[in-house]
Amino acid sequence: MKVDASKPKSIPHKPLVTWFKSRGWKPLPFQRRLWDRYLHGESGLLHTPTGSGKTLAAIGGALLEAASAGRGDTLPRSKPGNKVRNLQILWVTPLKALASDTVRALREPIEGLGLDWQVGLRTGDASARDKRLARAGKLDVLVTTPESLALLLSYPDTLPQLQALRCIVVDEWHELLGNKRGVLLQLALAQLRTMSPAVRIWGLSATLGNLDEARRVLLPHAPQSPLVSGVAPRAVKLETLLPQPGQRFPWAGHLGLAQLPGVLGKLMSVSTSLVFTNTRAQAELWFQALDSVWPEDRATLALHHGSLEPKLRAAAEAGLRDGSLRCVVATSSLDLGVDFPAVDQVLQVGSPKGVARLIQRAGRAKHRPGQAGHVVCVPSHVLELVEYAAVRRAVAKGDIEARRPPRLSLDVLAQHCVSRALSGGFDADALFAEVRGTHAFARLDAPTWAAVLDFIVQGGSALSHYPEFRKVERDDDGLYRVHDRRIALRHRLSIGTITSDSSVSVKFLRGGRLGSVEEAFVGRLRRGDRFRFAGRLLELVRLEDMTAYVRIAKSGEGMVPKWMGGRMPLSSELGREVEAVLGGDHAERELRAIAPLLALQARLSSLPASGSLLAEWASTRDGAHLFVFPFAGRQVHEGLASLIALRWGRLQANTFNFSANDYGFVLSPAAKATMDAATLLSLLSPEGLLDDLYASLNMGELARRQFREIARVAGLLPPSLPGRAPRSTRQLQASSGLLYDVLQRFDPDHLLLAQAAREVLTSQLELSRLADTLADCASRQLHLHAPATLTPLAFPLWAEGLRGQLSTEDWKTRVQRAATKLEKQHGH
Amino acid sequence: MATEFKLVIAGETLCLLGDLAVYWPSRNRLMVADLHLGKADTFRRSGIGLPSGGTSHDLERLSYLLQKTAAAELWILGDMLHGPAPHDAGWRESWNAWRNQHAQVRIVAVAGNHDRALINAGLEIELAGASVEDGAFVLRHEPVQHPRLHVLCGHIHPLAVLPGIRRRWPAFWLRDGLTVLPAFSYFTAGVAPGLAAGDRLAACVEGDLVMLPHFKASGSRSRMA
Repeated sequence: MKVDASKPKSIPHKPLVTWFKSRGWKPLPFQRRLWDRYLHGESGLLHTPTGSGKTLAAIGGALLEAASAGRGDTLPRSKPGNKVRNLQILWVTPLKALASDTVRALREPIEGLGLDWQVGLRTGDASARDKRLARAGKLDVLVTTPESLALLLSYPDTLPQLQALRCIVVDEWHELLGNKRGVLLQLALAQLRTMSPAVRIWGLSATLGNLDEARRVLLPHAPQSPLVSGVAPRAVKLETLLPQPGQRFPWAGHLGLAQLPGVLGKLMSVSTSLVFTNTRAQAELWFQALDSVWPEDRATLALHHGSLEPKLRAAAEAGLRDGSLRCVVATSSLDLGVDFPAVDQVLQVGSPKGVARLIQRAGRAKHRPGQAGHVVCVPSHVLELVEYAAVRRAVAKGDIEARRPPRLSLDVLAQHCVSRALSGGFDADALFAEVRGTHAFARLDAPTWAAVLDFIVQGGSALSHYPEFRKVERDDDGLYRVHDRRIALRHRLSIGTITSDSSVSVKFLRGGRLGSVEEAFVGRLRRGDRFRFAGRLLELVRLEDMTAYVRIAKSGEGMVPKWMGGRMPLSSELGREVEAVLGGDHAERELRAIAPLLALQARLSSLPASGSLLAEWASTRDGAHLFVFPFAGRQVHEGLASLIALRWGRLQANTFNFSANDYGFVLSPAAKATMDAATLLSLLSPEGLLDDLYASLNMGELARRQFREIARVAGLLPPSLPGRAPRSTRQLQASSGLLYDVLQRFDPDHLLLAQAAREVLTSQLELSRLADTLADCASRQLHLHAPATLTPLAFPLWAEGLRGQLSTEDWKTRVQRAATKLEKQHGH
Repeated sequence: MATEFKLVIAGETLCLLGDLAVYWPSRNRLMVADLHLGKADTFRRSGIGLPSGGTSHDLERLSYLLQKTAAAELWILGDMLHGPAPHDAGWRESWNAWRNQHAQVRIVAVAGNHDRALINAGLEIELAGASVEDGAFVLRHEPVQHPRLHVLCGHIHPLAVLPGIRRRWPAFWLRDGLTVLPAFSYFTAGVAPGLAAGDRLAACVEGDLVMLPHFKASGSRSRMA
């Protein structure tokens, strides 16, 4: 089956326009433009905000094509009763929570045009029936996630149904562009392009700082494809809930519960609100707090986050849709997706973190044409007020963050290769050419490719010979395949665990699942311990087979699980803006509200300002601390902290604890040390940056931490899924840290270790930005103060606690010091 | 800080060694726990590519200790093996060579939970069953108290957590009536035990022993540098 791209001009828009009319709508110009481009056989990227009609824009061309074919054109049409249908349209969405809404939104026009099409979904949340339909080839339109797509592609029997794919839509591409899930999707798209070269691929994206790059990454095979603009993003009006005059307001922290009365007042002033938090733990606590003061029927308040059971999430979404809920406390799990027209108001608790993110969240409220989006910001600590003022300025300037696509993620490539070996086998040269067709692996060279093959075939480098290793095998016909059933099973279980840590399912004794929490959290609980989850106070009854059996606890307090990955950094765009606001005229409402605090900072030390670099050398009960505030974003600060620790430790052997936030970093030397401006300047020198960074990487723990995700993606950590702990994998449990140490010791040249170092340097520490920051610091006037106490800027950093450590001392010295300290504190 | 620490229990002297072993002078006996021979092989056999070298490294450290103490006996307090012991296992070659090199040493293994394949493994060692009473001591794998005798055991892989240091160190867990040895194998994780009153840990730091005062390690996120 071929797509005839020469004729389609003759396909009219009429059937769709008629359907639009029947609903009282009219197609927007950009929707028609996109249909035409599709009908011309083009691929492209559409950027437009959520709720602007992007779904119909993306799908319209394919529907028109099918409708026209149904009226006697040459296009074959799938007939009812056909045993296997060829999939026509593949819709990829980043969030499984979005999939069912998308299915609903796609069915309407399909039915409206009288197309005999089956729409189904295949995600981690999908029902067994849907999964069966998707695999058995009973669908014309499939809605899925990158991970579920990768899983589908690992089954040899599903491949034939994808041979005649006409259209792939990648929804919310901006969410995938900058991470490994996007890399996984790039590989899947390359495979699908090989199978059906004429397939048209359309990406949908919100506004980004690097839209053109986003287009090239999605469509590396078609560099001329268009970037289509939809409707302009709505203006955003930002309101800050200021603390009451005289109210004590914390300098650090992340809850913001002091603002509860103000928030409740806001919630009661409209009929439906969304309260966004930055972490799941924060969402649980805010839900609990609101629940305890909720003046109305408790059933009108709900909770929504990514660890909750799909059923519970679906109930909250349904309540938002039909207007039966007054408030939903949510995390980024509700950032995306189709609109909830009933939502009148959006609140953001805590730091906005990024410009694009706040715009996205503000856009979740009801659209009134011509009106600005509105978001109420609820600060959890003082400095967030500055961030709100900064984000308002950035929004006004249209200063939106870029998302940088990762390159050469060899862990993802290894996973993809094993999947390909599972689904019928691959030829090494052909696959090499195919993956080099993606943006992520365009620069993959032959030796590295050979190393990846060695990793999945030999279990290590080609020099090591492990006859017992069996994963992917090269058969006599030259194709690489997987023959071991258990390997196949374990690999399929591990596809799609890119982002999730080992999790434990939470279940009531009498059945009824609530969701999942991280194993590390449950592991610390004992029988009878109470914890808060899914908006309830629960008591652990027992833990077995990766399931925590719980019952409702009668009363008391409970811990709240912390999920990994909750620490999102402030974007660098916003960081710069914060510095500018602090160094500005403080005319903003938010800044006026914290005038006493700013005065205190100025009195104890000084205020940051562009052109100067602020540093503080202060002592507390627990020792001396060096604070430096370059305002370059947390990631850059983490890199700087370990770099400075290394250099300082070279002057005199020492051990440093460090932590970083979005404003700066702190180094705390364990042994006595001194600091002056000349020394600090020399430590901040841009000279020898790369060598010093590599050295500090190995001595610090950044690479070891980064290895966690790599080990999981590359299949070094067997998956442990809720409810399953097969005996066979019990002997295979090892932490990523232990694996890192073992590789480091016995195979230091391992390609995944090299990747961990590379990822830390490029994506985590952003080497180029680090170099820029050092150069920038060198050009600024250094102000090193010695304040008598911790300043308002220093306090949150100090309170952050130990985040990293770097030492130029030997272990014995360090352990002896710690033991002596213990002796003093607990001595006999 | 020293490389060994003498412990007197019921009149018997034991030397805890910073190299993760116990030496019992009156028996001229070296004792270790949790050797987990062939652990990386087990991973590789299941398609998880880990380098070999761990087993040889562990055996080299054992050789060093046998030579240093001139012990006539080596006792392994359980989990000598990690998984199955097929005849083509890569680690067997290292083991056989090592066994020949120390042919005169009597080697006794107490059965651990990982040792299902040990009976038929043919490693040229004596199998002592699950528990052995010897003088003032009971030697076994799992830390179960004995009504009269002091228990020497392994199984837990105790680790010491030190304030302000992320890295954790293998440790002896000294309790009333019970001494838990650290895991000998390099490729093992472990747990920081919850300490009861009177318990102490002796951390093994690069060959040295550091006796730690009694303290509560769990839960505290204090900022001690």
